[in-house]
Amino acid sequence: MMTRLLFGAGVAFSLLLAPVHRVHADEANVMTEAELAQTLVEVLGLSTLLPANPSDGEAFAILLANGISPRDGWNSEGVVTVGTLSRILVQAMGRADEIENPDNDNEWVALLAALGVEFGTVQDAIDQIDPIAFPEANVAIVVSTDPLRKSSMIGQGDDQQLGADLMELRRPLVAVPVDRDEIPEVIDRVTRPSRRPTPPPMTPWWFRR
Amino acid sequence: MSMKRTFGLALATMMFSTPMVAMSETGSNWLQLKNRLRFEYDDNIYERGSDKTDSLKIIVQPEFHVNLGLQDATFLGLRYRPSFFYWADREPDDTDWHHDFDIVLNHKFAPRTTLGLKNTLRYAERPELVDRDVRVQSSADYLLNSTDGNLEHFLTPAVFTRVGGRYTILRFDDDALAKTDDYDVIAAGLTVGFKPAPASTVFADYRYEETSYDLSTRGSESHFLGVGLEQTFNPALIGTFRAGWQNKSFDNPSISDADDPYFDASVTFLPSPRTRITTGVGYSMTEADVFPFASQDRLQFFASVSHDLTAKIGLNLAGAYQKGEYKGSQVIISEDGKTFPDGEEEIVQLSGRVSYMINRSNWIELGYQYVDLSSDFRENFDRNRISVGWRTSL
Repeated sequence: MMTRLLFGAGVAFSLLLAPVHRVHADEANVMTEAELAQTLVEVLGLSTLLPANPSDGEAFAILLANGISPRDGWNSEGVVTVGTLSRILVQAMGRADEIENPDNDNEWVALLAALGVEFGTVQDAIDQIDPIAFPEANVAIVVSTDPLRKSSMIGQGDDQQLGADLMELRRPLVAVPVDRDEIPEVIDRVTRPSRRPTPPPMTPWWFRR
Repeated sequence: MSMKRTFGLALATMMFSTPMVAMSETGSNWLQLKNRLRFEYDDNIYERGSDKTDSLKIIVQPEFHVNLGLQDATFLGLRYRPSFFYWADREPDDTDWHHDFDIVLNHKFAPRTTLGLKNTLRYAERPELVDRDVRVQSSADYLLNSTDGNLEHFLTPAVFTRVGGRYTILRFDDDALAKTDDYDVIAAGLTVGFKPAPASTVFADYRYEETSYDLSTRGSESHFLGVGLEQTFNPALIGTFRAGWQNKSFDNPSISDADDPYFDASVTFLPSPRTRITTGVGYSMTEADVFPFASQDRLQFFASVSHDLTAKIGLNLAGAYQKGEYKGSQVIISEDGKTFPDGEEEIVQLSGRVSYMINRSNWIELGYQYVDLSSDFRENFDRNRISVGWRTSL
């Protein structure tokens, strides 16, 4: 066990001094924090809570809402270091409260080593991340006005909102006493003699009395 | 094809396809199973202003997640969550089934070119309900499906374009309801963005949205033109802002075109390592929730707070406010010169939950939800719900 811990700590410490390789190598052959955030959103099971192909800002925001952030915050061009990766791993495991001095990268690395988590590349690290058990997101009360992102007109009840539940209340309603079966005729009635309306399937309160 | 058959087909496809794709998964921890069980007291199950009926409920929500990284460049995510509701005092139907099924597919063609696709399927039972010989809810079973996707390409490390589209359908089982509320929404858009600094992204976007109902005179068409900003202000504060101008024209020739500004903003911040807050506001013209209106001006506000009281005890609070303003000049029917007054509807929702982590796989929770609806179009009501529950994740 001690050998394993020392090995893990040694590998982690040696990598701490240099940026690690990214999962999908590009021209610079390093991984940026934006790329890490996009990968984390997938691995942590957050992608179904976001629009398709989320922007960097959307990925950063949902990670931050779940308490996952590099020491200096998310920087789209920042290069991922072992210190950052260790911090992210520990936060994703829900063990950030076990760190006494969060500003010290070595503490995050040491905790991982103590937990027996070893990795040599970003991919190694990511492969060891479990999805968040109950992620926090604002699904039912998204206020986006973007037609490509806004919430639907109708929704299920009890979606989890940053941990608490909220029920969608939007649903079709009838505001006037007309029978939907007769709607086309009602529209035509603008120029025709009116007919006595009948109760609608979703009867407004004043009509029930 | 009936909705139930369509939904069954979709589920069967998922059941069949999941093992096939699972065989090609490359990462570990690709399968996640969860469940939420709640016992709830609901003081107003029919959402009435008076003569309220209360009931105990049992809610079971298992959830299946599959996250697959395929050959490094492709990600496939599946999520299926059926929800079962049992109502101790609801007549004549004491059970509901809801189904949520999501698929996410992301693919990286090149380091600078990515494609994202997402499909969201919802099927819900809303049976006809009768309370003391009064029909309080008509049958409103529905299927909602939304498919959206976009392609993003970085022209340079700092300049990108994004082309996207979305197609949403809503189908009700009940023929009469379907006639007025079934709709198809097609949206498309182009975004051009620039990153002047690592913490900032500015963008300009154009959006087109066409809403078509079975009832042809309720449809509309909108054009949006605006600008936005995504900004990391500091390590604990991230914000997004959008604003622009919307032009909306209606299929009903008697309704005049409308022009209005739109905006939305949301921020996520951590005042302390143990506290996370998200808040936002949005305003735009959007589809009407109330028939026979063709549009509403909707203002929304929300705030959510999560606070870790201890390492094992968490507190979550959420609140939302929505105000929809309806114009009498935007109704699609007119009876013998009768005019409709303007009206509005306000919804306030509050929710809280305290959860205790037994171990890293099990939690127990105590929850409370409050809803207050104030409307010019339907009966005002408030509703309180209190629940105790158990969450588990395997």
